[in-house]
Amino acid sequence: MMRTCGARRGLAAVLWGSGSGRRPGDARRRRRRGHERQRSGDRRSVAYVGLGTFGLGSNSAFQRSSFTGVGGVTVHNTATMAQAQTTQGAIQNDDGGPRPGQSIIEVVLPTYIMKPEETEIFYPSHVKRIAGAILEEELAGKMYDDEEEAKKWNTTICEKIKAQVKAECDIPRYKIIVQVTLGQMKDQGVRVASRCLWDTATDNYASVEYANQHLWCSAMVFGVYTE
Amino acid sequence: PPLRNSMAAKSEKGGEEAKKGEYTLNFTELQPTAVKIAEHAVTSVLSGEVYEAARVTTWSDKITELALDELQKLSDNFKYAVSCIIMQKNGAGIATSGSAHWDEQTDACAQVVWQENRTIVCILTIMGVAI
Repeated sequence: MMRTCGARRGLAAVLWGSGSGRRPGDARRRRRRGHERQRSGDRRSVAYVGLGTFGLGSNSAFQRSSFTGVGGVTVHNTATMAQAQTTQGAIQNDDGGPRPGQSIIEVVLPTYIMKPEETEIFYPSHVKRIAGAILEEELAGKMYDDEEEAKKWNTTICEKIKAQVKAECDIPRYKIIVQVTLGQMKDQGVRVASRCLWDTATDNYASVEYANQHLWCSAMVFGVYTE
Repeated sequence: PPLRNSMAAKSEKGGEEAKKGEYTLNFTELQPTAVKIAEHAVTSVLSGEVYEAARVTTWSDKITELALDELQKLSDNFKYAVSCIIMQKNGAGIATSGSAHWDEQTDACAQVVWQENRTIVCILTIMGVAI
């Protein structure tokens, strides 16, 4: 949340970076700008809105270098709550959180993100590499002997692929669906096909095959973007 | 917003929306209908057929196309992925499994395993992901 990128001034800049705040009316202006845009991605900003009345005069409020709610808005990144960056003032709690008796309204600010970043989209080549490696690792030298075992391998491969893709590819806003088919090699004919209805600009799929003498395996990974 | 307006307009016409009176963003509600769609798609293409490697491509294309068309009419609040596995009945074993990282409350999958044919097994999986 402390990131302020380019020309967009996040709420953080308004509260902590502006330096002013010593003029009357500043507090009111800041409160009105409660829903500033910010590029916060998955990080949520929580605003504590104070509803009580506080007895200090407006002068003393503005003398603090960082403004946190005299009946105003306290904004914290939930992850850094513990490291309160506010100075200790007479009417604040130690952790910079809400004061006793103050009702808390948690507001999750909108991010206004319309599409994924260049670095955060589903790259099929990347996923193919991951899935291919996992298939090789899991199935090298195995034989399709037992139905129950095959089921177990199947679910293991599924979970592994999903976990790896989540961990390695930086795609936070994507829903990942993995489907793995494992079959015995017995001179039968097989066709595995898929068709999708989605937004081709953001969504994609990757599919890998593996075969050895005794079994064949096909893994399909679908990545679907969710706003 | 455009999506919702179109759904409101569609609720006058038939299907799930009219009965519910509003659109749904939860695929689990539409799952039984999705299963029926899947069964219908497979049966209409494969019933009475004999496995032929040359025709398998056409069959899988037709099945997935049919399924997607019906799904699109069903609800446009979802993105769909339809996967179709057609295999010759040869005594060989096959296992399919899926794993997903999605919102469990709105997204779901519907699957049909069709074995009524003497020579063909078809597994059709529909995954509906809420927009």
